[in-house]
Amino acid sequence: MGNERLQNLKAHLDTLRKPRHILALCGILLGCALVFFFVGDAYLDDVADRSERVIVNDDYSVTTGPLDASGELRQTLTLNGGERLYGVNLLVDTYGRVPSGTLHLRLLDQYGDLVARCDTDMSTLLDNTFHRFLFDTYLEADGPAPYHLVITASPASNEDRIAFHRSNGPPQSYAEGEEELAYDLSAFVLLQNGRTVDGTLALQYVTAYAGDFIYTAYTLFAVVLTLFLLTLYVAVLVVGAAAHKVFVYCCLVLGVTSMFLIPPRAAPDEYAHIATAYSHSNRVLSPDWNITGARIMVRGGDEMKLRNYDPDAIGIFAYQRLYEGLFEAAPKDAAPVELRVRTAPTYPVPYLLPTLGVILARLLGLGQVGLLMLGRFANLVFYAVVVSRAVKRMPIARTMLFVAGLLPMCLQLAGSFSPDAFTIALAFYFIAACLDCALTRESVGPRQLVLLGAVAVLLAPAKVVYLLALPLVLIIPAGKFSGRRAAWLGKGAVLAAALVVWGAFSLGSIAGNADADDTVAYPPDAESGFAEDGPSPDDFAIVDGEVLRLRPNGDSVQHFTPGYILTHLPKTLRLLARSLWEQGSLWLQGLLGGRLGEVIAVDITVNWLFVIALLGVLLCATLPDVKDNLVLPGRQRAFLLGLTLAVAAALLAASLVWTPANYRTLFGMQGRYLLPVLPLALLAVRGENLRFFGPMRRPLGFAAVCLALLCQLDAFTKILQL
Amino acid sequence: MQFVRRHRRYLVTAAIFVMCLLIFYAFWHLEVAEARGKSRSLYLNDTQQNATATLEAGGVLSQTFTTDEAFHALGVVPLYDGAIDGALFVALYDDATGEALARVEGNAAHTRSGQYAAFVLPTAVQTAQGRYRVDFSAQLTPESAPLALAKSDDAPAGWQLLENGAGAGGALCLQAGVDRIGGFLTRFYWVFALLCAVFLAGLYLLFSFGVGITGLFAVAAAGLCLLFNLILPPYAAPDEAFHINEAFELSFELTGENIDDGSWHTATRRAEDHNEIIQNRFTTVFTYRELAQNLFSAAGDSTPTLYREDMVGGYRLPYLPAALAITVCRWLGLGFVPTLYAGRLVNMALYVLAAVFAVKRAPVGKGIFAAVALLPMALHLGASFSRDCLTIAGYLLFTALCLYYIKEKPRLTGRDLLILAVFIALLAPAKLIYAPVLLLVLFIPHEKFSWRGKAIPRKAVWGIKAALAVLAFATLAPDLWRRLMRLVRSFSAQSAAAAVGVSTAATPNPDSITYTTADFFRRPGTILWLVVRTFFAEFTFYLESLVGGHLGYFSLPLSWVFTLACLVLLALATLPEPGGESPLLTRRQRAFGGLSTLAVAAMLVGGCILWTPAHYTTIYGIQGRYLLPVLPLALCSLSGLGKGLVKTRPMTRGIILGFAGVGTFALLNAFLLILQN
Repeated sequence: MGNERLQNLKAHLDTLRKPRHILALCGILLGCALVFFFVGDAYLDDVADRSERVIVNDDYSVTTGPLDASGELRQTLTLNGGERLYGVNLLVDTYGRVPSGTLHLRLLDQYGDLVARCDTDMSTLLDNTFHRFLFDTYLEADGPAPYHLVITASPASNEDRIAFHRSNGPPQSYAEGEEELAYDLSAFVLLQNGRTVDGTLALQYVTAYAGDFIYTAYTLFAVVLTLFLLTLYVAVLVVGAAAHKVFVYCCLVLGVTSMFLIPPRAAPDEYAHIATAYSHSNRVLSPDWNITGARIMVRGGDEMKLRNYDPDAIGIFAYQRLYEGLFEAAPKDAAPVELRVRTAPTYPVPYLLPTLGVILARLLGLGQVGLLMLGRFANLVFYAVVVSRAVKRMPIARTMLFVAGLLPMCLQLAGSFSPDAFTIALAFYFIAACLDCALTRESVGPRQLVLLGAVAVLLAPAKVVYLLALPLVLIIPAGKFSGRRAAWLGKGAVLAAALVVWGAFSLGSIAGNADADDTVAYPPDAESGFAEDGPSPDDFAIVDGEVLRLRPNGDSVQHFTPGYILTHLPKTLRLLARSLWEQGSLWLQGLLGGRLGEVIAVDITVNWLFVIALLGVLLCATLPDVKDNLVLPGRQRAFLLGLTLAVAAALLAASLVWTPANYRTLFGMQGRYLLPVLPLALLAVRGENLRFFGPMRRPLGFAAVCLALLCQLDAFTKILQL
Repeated sequence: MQFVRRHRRYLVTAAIFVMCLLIFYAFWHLEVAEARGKSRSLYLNDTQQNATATLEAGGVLSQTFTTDEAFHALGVVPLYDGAIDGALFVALYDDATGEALARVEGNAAHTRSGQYAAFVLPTAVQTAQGRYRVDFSAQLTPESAPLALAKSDDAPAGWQLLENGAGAGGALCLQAGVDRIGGFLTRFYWVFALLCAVFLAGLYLLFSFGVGITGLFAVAAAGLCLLFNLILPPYAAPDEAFHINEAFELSFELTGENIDDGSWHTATRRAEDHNEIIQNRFTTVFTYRELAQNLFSAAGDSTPTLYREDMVGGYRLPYLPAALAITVCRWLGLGFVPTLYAGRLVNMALYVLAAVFAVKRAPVGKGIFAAVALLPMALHLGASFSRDCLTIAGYLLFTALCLYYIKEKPRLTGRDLLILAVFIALLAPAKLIYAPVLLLVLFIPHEKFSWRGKAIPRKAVWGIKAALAVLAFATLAPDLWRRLMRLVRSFSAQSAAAAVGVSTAATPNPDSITYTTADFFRRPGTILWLVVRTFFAEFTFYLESLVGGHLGYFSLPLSWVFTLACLVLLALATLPEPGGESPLLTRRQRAFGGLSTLAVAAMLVGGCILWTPAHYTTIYGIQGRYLLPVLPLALCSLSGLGKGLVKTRPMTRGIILGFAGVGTFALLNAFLLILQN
């Protein structure tokens, strides 16, 4: 056995020595180097220098007067507990010239000990402009405490003068938006040469600074992904590894990349899914933690926004938090904290793997980031394993399933807490198993039926619309069973079991929702901000001659309910037509992964170049070639198309009911909802009119992986620009 | 059943006809019907100031005003604080005679405070004197907020405002709805719908009768070009205003009546060749009406007149056919609109003829030539005054002819050589960037050259080919010399890229600092980075502007469905036909095709970089449509590459049918977008 492996290895090495493979590997290496260098050179410098500031005092009516070589400015300031200070922005007056010399800033704590410092070349200061002074290290305040910012100067000559703008009298507290900052402004004292000045420096805190971490992280990923592509080439095009094994490898690498690309809580609706998985983990680990409706208890240190989408969940500073917190341990002896959350539907099975990940992380004492990433990784592993089994079982168009499983959208969902990963994986497996039974197996026994039934039962309660895809089991010919009656009984049993389980969970869900206080789409009027003294004109909109009452968020109270649709048929048709024309491209992007992240909140649109190329590869992977030349008969293809259309129609109907009556296009419809039935649609269009006259499966699979990677890289550049 | 089988083609044709009309009916009902009320807004008094006129319960606000135009709606600006409910009444009188003209009631709750609320009159109103009085009154519910109407402090001459019979200063803010499109839209839309239905059904009937590729293509191209002319009228195509001016100018030069001063900022047309509604590059439904009303108009004042309007300049031969048509129209005394259409139709006819001949002559890749010619963008340009019309047509035909000589025709006669020489002489100066395609003649095998039935010696053939190349170079020489001089000058000038980052305080318009030719050598990294960034940032736009996802003056962004459909059809057309050659071209020919495409793209990008202001982050001015002339050669080079994705049954005729459908419904989409203008 060992000898045989050795011989195989030798044979592969001989193959690898062929000039075309060496050239290809060199090409991959060069291509990766160019692409990663191009992206890094273009985007990293900009984001590494990015910072966020909080305005503390925006009153700059007077200046302090020139700061001479022996002079000193001492500004007392306070920080809130847990707040980070990377530096300060000060409004500088250089008296209309470019000064020479050095400016020294020192940050002292309340005991006079040096905490951080910054020395700046004065020639870099611009007159009447805020300058960012970054300290050599950031300060993280444990609690509200005073600090002293001491400013001294070493001007090159007496003509090199510098002063700072300050308020005239008590500072005006100011913050962006309406909220006042919770700084103790009485502690802001300004001393110039030891004498108190009635005012405060025009001051901004630099509370976030990206810094150099992104270079390290990016380089690490660039190296790993280059190695991945090189090894993938060898595995696919030299060794000829089995598709399902290659799938696991690709899915795990690209999935982990996606986990870092889209940080925790930034995937679609992930905040709700995290809350759900966390609450399930509480049931196992902390049954005494009281769980009530839209509130959960979390460990101290796991505080995060889980009620709504958090815009800070993505971007360079989210990457920074991810980078810094990945290997942090959870704080010990921290008291549990109660969080207001929005939880997801009650069907718990799709959350099993993420919940296990969370449980494991809590048992290992991982910090918040580690916990979230382990929960995601567990979901990814489940997805990779189940879809790889589907790829293995798929009797035709296996490459199509391989490519579909590695679409950037699938990877994003798999590398998150989303239950859709579970749904997609099981749907793919169900399709593969049905086709396997229909096309490959000589007979279908109870074991196969039980397996199909189990998958259908697990899948059915996930989303009701996918129930419509389960009749795929009917494609198995009666001849594969022991008799016609057995065939009908077997197939009927699979469908009946799915229906019964779905019914049971739906009833449970309805009962559960009756108790929950956060499961309705909109809170009742008392919370919705309607004025108690009657509506104002701004609460109404006239749409197509119809007066509609609006909610404070601009949506009409009236939705496209079945009754409304029946009485407004032309309007409904117009909405559907407009949606198809205007949003069709968005649905396609959403299906393939051309738009990542929470699409309603942020726009991370991948370049169409990659999306179209990916679509082309997916379509090509669907076509028959010399080794995979079986095409389903027309009637069966029509059946598959019918199932796909039924699911699509059900999704449209569901979105329609969800759409406020003053909308021009459908609300909430996303292309990713069609992912579970994507293989059905593709198999339906797999005809005999087009085919490859050479083996194309492996090159197409490799191309799909490269394109998925390029999509992720392009999305990365878009996220950096957020 | 036998009847169905026997008459299947007629039944399917009828079904297509009915389906097409049903689709048009659906869009009529959903989008078009309500646009019949579309009108232009005429602000009679729009000086909205702080003053208001209060409309008390039982009170009347009377405003006298003047207007010469017929109007069918009157708008005022209601002002209120809080919720309003009740009825508003408008009574319109002829101020000269006191005759009641109209009475209208409106729902106050349907108004928005501070915005014009229009009261639609039962019929359009116009009096001899043009003096009117309008009385506003209201019956509001007790819970309703009090209502006032916005007014100006000063009144236009002859206007008077009365509050409950007493004089009040100022005048109400009034808006009139004039020029309602009304029934014209209905007629226009259904003519368009009927033409589309007849066209698609007829084309299918021809398809079902087995009409060949060339015949089917000819009908499809001609039909679509006519439909494009209908929906995207003169002045709608990119830069068409400049091309029209150029054609008119040339026409006047031909007859020696040109009064131009030689500047390309002025153009000569007849005094009557002026119409603001038609000369709007953003087509509206009013453009259609204006064109329809003047379709058979006769010329009024034919005096040559100088207009301060830009022309294109440069190579003018592509304008000659349109200019000749304009000249004939002038002789015949036809008006502006028929003259415009005559010019367009001549261009269109030449485009269709050239494309049909190209498809007929192409020995391989007929589908490719047909597909490129039927792309909505190609049709849009083909049915316009644009000089790209004849450039695209010329290169389509030239490429097809060359392939015919290379692959099919056994012997080249003197006439063939003359044809090639003429093509080269005409096409080379059209646009420098396409010149590499002309070198395709070099691939005609030596043994095919003959003179009076005898083969020409090899050296002589080289001489002929060299002569053709010299001919191309000679026609390009002035342009090349100009560019060379520019390069030399740019080396002595300050590099624009180097200037970036320097304060622009001394430069009033930063757009005037553009990249120079020298920057290509001095800062290749900057230029490369600019190209890469542009490619990734603008790829979607290039694709859409190549196939026609954006029509008009980029003002009509069609649905993504059409771009995708065009790409799929183009890809299908590129695949080799079953039983046909695969790949279509030899390795060297493919290499040439690829290299010439890259050369065209490189020159296009390079040219646009020279237009690009140095502070831009992407290249300015590139459009996908510029690649249309080289597209057939590029696709022929790509066809049959790789592991052989092939069609297992002939599809070219189906592809033509597909393009007819895509083009027709793309026009419907364009029309729906125009409705919103």
